[in-house]
Amino acid sequence: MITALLGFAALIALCFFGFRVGFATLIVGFVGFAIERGTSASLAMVAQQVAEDAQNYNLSVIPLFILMGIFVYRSNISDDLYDAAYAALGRFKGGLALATVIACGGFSAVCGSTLATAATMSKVAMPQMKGFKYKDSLAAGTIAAGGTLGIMIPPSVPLVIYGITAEQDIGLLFIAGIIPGILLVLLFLLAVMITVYRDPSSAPDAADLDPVRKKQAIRGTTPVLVLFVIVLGGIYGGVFTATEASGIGAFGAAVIAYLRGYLRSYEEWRSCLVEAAITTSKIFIVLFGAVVFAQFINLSGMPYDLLDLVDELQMGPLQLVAFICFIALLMGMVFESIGIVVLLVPVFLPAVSILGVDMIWFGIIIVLVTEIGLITPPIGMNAFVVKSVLPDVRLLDIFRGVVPYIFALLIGLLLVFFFPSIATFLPEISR
Amino acid sequence: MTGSSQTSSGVRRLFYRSITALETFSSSVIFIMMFLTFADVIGRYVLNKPIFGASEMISALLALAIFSGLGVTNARDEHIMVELFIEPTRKLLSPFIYEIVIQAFSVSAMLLIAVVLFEHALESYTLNSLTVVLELPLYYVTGSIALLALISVISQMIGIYYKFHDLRNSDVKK
Repeated sequence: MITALLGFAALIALCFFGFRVGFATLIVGFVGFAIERGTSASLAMVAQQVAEDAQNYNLSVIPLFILMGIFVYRSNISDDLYDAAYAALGRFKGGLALATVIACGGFSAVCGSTLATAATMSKVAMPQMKGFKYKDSLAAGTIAAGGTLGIMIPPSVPLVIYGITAEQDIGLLFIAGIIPGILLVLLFLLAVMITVYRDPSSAPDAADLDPVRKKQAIRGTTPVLVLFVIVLGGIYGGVFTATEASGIGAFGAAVIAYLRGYLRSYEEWRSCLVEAAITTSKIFIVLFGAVVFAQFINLSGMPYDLLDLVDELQMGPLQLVAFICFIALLMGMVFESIGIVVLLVPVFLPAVSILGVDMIWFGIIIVLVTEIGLITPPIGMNAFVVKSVLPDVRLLDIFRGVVPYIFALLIGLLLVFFFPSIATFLPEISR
Repeated sequence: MTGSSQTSSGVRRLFYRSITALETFSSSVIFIMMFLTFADVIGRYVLNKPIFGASEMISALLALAIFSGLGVTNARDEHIMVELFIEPTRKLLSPFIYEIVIQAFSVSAMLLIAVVLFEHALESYTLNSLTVVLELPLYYVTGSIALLALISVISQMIGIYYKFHDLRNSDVKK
């Protein structure tokens, strides 16, 4: 236990000082394992873990869903998505902010990147909201928070990472994320309404969208929605596995991008594929580090010591999960979602599973908590991305603007926590 | 332009070309992966004729995509990091020393990966291990990823060299 705690302390210190997260976890895991079992055993363990994970068929969902997201992102679908949402919600009070939530949810779901969503929507939605004199805090806060929605709405990379770490079915995790994802969108819409109700001057009335543009927007978004339904419907209906769905998704997104006038040159293809390869390698180096670190943690006996502690304190499953959520919330202030999942899950896995916690539900809870970390200070990556795209908006306004959404996320967390069927209902049917 | 600066810019050009080659390789691998997965699904569910050994090929392609992509990521030092305390630490240590410590650590970690992968490849070569479905020698894949890991260490070191070079030049200009 002491070695593991020292390992954690060393890892957190290294990460804080700016050492690359993947390399830091790998080295700490390697050294820790070597201290416990010797250098040659540790070398063999690193070789086995890295070689196995690099060739894990189930993990090929990561590059393919990333590629799908990049194709969708590059095909400039964001304008149409925003306009389609605007057409539906623009007439309501705070309609542009409501439309931003829907567009962010839709875009981040297919694009898969919270940061790309925040950056893109800053360019698409902000000028419109500025034009109608929306307050900066409402406009920028909505964009920063809306970008986080994609983490829960499948296909989601953090859910894949959780599935691999906890050895859970990735398809079921995707299905489990659907209702909580929709719930969060609804809570965000509610947050906009309450904000506008409390301060009507934050969202003056906007003009209705031009009917021609309305039609164009609906026509433009339909293929992406169809692709989304095929990918998720295929997994849900048991027609294909998550890996197969990712291949269909990437190919379908390429076709959509082509039909929209993109991916018509070698250079366009190349830049999308290179971006996918680089993002994949970045994620995998963190994953390699995580599996090596997890081996060290398991060997140190920490998960079983924690189990004894849980037993001693007579903690129930809900208390334990609440405790884990608390740690994840603290970690979320500094670490990004993948880092939290790979560091936290292996440590608590034995205790959580022995207490009979539904591992699909637990995955949704953990990923939801990491979503909160994306907009909470001091790091709140999405807030910083919005700030970098919109330098005129004060960071303080963005952080002030995300407060209602933090409450919405916390309410969502509590709802999923106390009503697990929100996450487990669909997977149970599909089983 | 002096002879040494001409050589230096020539080496830099060669480095950028190598990175471009790695990019092309990784992008081709990802493209094949996408196409193969799609074709396998269509073959399996529409034509009732899946591609033999597709999952094994996709697994191998995944490994190649990761390690060729790593070559590019390492050269540009684009890895995930926690940025909260970077600036204060840089100022505390001086940017130059800070970068040396951070990059030396990254190179050590990457070198560790390359070494263990070479050992793994050597072991699969010695044991003449075969893949389960296609029965191809396993060292084709393990050897390739070990080689790509080594290339990514080299690209990382050259990238760091140029990072320091640029850092020193900016210091001189100041």
